[in-house]
Amino acid sequence: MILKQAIFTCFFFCCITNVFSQKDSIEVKFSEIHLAISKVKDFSKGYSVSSISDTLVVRDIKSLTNILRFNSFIYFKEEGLGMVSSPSFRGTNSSQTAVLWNGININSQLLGQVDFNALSSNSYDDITVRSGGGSVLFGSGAIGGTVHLDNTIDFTTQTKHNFIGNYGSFNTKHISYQFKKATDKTHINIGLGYNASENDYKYLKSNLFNENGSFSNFNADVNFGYQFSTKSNIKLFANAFAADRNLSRTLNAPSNDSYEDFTLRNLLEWNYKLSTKELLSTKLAYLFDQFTFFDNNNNRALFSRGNTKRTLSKIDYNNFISKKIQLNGVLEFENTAAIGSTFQRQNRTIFTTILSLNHQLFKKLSYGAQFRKDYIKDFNSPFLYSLGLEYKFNSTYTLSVNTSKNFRIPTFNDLYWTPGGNPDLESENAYQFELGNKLHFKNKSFQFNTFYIKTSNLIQWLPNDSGIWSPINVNETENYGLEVSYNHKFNYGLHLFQFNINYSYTIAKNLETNKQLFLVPKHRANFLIDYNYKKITVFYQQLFNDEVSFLVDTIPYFTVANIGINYQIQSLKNQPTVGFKINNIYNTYYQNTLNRPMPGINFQITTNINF
Amino acid sequence: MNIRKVVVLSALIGVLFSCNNTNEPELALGDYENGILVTNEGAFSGGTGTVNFISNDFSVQVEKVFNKVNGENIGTILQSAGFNGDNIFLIANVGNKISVANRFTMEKSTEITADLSNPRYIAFANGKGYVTNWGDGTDVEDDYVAVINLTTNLVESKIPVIEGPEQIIANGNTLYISHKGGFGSGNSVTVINAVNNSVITNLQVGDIPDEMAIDNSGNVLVSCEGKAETPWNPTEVLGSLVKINTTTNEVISTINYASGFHPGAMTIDNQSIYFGSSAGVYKMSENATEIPSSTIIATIASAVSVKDDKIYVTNASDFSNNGTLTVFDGATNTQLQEFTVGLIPGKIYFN
Repeated sequence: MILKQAIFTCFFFCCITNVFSQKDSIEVKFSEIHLAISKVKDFSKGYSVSSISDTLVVRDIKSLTNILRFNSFIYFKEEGLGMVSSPSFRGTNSSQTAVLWNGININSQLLGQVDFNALSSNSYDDITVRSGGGSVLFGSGAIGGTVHLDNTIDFTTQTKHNFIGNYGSFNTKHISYQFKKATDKTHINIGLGYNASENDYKYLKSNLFNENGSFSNFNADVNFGYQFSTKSNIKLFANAFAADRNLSRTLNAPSNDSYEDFTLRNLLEWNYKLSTKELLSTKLAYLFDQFTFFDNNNNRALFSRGNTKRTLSKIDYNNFISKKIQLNGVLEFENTAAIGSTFQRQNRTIFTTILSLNHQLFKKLSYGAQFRKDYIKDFNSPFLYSLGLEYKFNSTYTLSVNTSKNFRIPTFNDLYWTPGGNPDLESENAYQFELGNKLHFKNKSFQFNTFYIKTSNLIQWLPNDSGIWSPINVNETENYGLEVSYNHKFNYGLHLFQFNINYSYTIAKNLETNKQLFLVPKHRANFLIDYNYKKITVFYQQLFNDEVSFLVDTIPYFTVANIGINYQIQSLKNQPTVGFKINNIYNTYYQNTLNRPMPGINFQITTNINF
Repeated sequence: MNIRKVVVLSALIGVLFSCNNTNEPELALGDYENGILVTNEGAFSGGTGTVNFISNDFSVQVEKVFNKVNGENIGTILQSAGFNGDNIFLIANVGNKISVANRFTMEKSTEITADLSNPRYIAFANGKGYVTNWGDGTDVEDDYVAVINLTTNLVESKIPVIEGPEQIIANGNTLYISHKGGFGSGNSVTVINAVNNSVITNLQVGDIPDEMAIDNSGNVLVSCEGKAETPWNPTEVLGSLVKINTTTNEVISTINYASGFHPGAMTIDNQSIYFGSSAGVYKMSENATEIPSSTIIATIASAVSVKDDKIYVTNASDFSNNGTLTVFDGATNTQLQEFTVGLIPGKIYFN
């Protein structure tokens, strides 16, 4: 309690000082620093970061899983199309990829993971994937890598409307509308989206179909910014998402289960320039997550439910000491209250301190160092660090190295689930080392990363003496491998070509048994070819996923490909773009998770209008 | 590794051997006669249950018997099997299906899917099959015993019972059902008259009653696991062995288990009671009034069955790889043989 008061006092003190200092200093030069510090972009020295372009997002707008599956190194364990979809990065488990929404870690406090099919796909301006451990900056679970979903609030005068309408096989619909209006003082952005699908596709090689697989979801976003002056602004991010899914059957069992998600995310941010070199960012966030599980979707009076309420307050202080040195300190205070059918009301309070440094040591050599320590009652949280180094040999070749210690703290389910929860659990700890090579030419770039991760104290649920599944810190694992990506753009006159390929090789083994971990493909590759001529764009994307083992079974390898064409109709008002996409053109029979077949060939019509 | 090779080799030899002996005078009822059947639950998420066969002389062992013979799966979580005449009834709990097959050839004759909801165990009485059903996990009032017409293999009626009916055994035309409690915890035994399918009574026993057996005096023994001391259950509830008189259908004795003893398996053979727990196998006389404090075999015993002076024990090992069946000599309690079976072996049956 005292700690809590101290933090809030501190928080308000900062606000007040801001207000006064704002009045005091009149002239501030704006040119040196921006009013926003992006942790991903500014504090990723030695790490590989890649942006997912808007075009790719729009093409697959109904599914964030699909966007990332075909365009990043992340492997998804999707339990049938549109069902629970958990990520795996560099062979780590579902809870070891952190997802950040506008800088806030949004991994489920109950499950530890993010279900990528329970995230709205059309709410963000910017989707970034950062490979490697990032617990220092991004918190619990940032072990394999992080996915950043960001909204941009800027103050460049514009008015934009965007409408997207898609319709496809299995009665799959997507409708979304975005409105953006900004002046040099204000910014407002409103987004609405709706997805629904009967999703009753036939299981190839079987007389079953995906019964009980329908889903629908709805999202609403409001992002608002107000610029008081060139040295102070306020930003508000709000996102609401509701999903209703039936849970698909498998080849071996029918299902009449159903699942509802509801999330609310609110973030208020105040950025303030203390001086020409100092920037202070104060954040307040409230996040609400709720799931409801129905045993029988025909009897919705009976269900089990759980929710978490999180409040966060954060002070982020940046100092550009010189052109070469940037310093960042963060104090964060987080309180989570969880309540559910399976456990009593529980509370967790975390106080976090982070210190980061970026230093351009020589012209060619720069490094970043970050440190973090969390304080949690009755829980020993490890001291975390991250060190990254970049050496620019010349304008084309950059060598980078990083090492870090990362963690995942036990979830509320791990600690308190009745029956089974284990309050004595410790955090999972992971050490990571990575070596990266980047070659950058005018129209092409090549990247080659090797990584090594050693994780100890892995939390695993196992039956105890009474046969009740209970989590314990048990395993030690070792992951290593490489990631290669290559991008190339070229043209013959007006014919533009773009080619992207990502390949990863991953070994992830249990150090006791020396066996490859379940659901980790050794080889995985995806590529994209884009061809553009005037108003026509044609694209082809393909994914190869190696076989994976799951318990005593093996899920076979597969190759799946999509093709699409988009055409911008210039003769019509507002020049809408219409498209046609064929998913799984080779009608491949494949499964992402055991005995949950994915759909065969299917079709989609898309329209996209800006006005 | 070597053991596995030896096992595979001996299985291979066994197959060849049995092929060479097709001219034997005695006509075999099927490939899976004279042996042990182990049911394996299989993976909860998308998996299927399987059955392992091991011949009585240990020379032949076959995995995934049903799946191989029929080219199809049993379904998710093979909870248990029941036998009636030449038929085996394989109950897939999550799969919500009962596969009916010939117990010796494993050839499937039919399946029952309608009117089942989380089926658990089956017993036979008065010419009918009786299957315990949990219903929906969150619904405490939809549990029932499905009555199966063995001619049509359809559920012909349902007998509503209280939450969480687990094991079911028949004593003549009387059925005894232990209410382990489903997703909650139970503490009673329901007695049903199979002649008119009515509930005779519901008897209170210890917490978490599970396995049942009929002793030499014709009493029904119910092993109640009790509740171990855990973070979510700070106060231990002792387990107990409850004896029910089958004439009066009343509890005639209760023997409490020692603190820390919560066996998940119990069986009777030749006037001895055997318990299986994570500590091992315990043995006591039917007439003893105290539970033994030490094991006769110290190995994890998820299931225990005894036949012809041999003790059979399953172990699910790490629950993510195949488990084992271990056979011990009942006189010396020494290990005779160990076999790799399927994922999460459940129960042991004799064919």
